[in-house]
Amino acid sequence: MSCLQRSTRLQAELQVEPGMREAQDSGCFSLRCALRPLLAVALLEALYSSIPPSQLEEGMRQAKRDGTLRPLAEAAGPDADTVLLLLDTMRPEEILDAAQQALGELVQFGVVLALGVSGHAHGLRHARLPIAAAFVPGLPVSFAVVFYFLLETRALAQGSQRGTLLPLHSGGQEPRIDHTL
Amino acid sequence: MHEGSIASAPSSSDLPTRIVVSLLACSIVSWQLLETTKLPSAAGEQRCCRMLGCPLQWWLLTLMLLSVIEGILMTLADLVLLARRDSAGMITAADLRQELTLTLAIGHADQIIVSLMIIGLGVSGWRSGVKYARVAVGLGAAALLSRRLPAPLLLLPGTLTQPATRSIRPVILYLSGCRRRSSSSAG
Repeated sequence: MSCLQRSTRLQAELQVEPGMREAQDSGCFSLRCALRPLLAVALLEALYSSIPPSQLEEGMRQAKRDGTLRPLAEAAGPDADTVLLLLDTMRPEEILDAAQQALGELVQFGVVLALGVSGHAHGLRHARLPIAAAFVPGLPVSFAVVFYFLLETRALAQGSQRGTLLPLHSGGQEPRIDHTL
Repeated sequence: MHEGSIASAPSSSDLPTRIVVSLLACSIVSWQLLETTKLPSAAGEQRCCRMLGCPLQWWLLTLMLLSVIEGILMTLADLVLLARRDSAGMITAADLRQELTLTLAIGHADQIIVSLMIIGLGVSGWRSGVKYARVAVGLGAAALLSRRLPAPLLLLPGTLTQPATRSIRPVILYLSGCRRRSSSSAG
């Protein structure tokens, strides 16, 4: 099923839920579609952990011999010398670690962005703040992730029917939505 | 350029920005702390405690605080790095290496925070009697211990392979609540 079809279907389903009318006003936004590429990135991150450092070391040595590293470093920015020196000082495990962490941050950033937009569309209070926090340089992206989940948790604890996530505390609450289709 | 020295230093102009960011982050945590402490006195106190929302909120707040401390540590490390520049304003490769090690360590801490958040959500679901919450706890613990299961992967929705009415179900929450809700809906 395409994203468009799913989105249309979602719109139709939302019509039976009066509390979610706001989501209809938010236009075509399917979180699934937004998160799918992030899943690919997260899988790539997981894949990186299976690369043996010795193989990477050999690859780096080969790239240095062939001179393919410099054009890549130059493409990354004006400080090509710095990048190359940095690569020289890093062990293969560290390079893998750094690559994994960069991908992980990208995934977390995307998740916060997507959840924040969706949460805002569903009327969650302050849902845009975690997005802003994710954009702030110098602040770990995990801050934004935890912040969003805290907002959701609080909204639910206060008895709000708003928010976009599943119930964290489903005990004693009537189901809000039937997920069985 | 000096031998073993590079000019890639965090610029001094970045630092005031980062300090302001740290202060802002602290104020957000303080605000959330106030919001959390307000909850028990609110009308929904009983429900809050019954649903175990309060401990989870405190847990998440603690993790937010840890994230802020991470940011502050990085700012401090940059300050130290700037202070140790040589007369030509260059940073030695050894210092840069230390900075790199610290950055990687903080990146690991970031992953640990997300894993702990997942475990916290799972434990909260478990204590509420949610059927598959233990799986969430297990996955969170696995992400904590193993590099092969990155924590960000667990944040992504399990709904990609599942028909859903609402499009938002991070996998951890799917594991914590979806099955139970579905079964109760069906019942």
